[in-house]
Amino acid sequence: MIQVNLQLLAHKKGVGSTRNGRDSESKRLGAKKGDGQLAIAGNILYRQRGTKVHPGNNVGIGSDDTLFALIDGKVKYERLGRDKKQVSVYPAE
Amino acid sequence: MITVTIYRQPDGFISRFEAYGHAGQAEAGQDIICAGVSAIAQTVIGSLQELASLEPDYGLDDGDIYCDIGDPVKLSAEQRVKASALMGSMDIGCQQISSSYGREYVTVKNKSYY
Repeated sequence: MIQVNLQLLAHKKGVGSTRNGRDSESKRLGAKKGDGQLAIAGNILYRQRGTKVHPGNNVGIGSDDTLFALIDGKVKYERLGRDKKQVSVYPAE
Repeated sequence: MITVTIYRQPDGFISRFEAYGHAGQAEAGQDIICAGVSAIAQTVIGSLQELASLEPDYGLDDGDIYCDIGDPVKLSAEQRVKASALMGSMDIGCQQISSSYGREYVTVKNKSYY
């Protein structure tokens, strides 16, 4: 089940509705491990709402769509199909 | 105004929708148009997961809801029937709100993928 918000498309007081009104929530959402960084099993790689980035090799996905490393290794962000992204962890050489 | 964009495959199958913008019918908390469109969109997303066992790519942000089933070739026949009905209900539901309350609040656009 998803968490429903019935006022997602409502005009917030004093908030403009231009296309540029958004800002990434790096404080809470977004990448926690960058491409090429080392991660250990269990490390959170990417926090998100929905699957903007999909789990790749050796990466698990939590119930809140958080992506985490299943093994120790190097983080790799890759393309998935035509217009999607995935993150994988490969054992460090 | 909320712009609902319905993305159809060549055979008419709806594989993606987006609802973008703010209805502007009332302030947050009282905006019934926003509530209607938000409810329909999020019901479809939840139903695709629960009733069709699909994992659509979706986003629920302020003023920006999207849902993408991806390439329908991967779906089983049963999933395709369910997904088609659910995504079709997003189209119909939003068209009904648009025709009942006015295009100044909700506009439905159709885009073909190819």
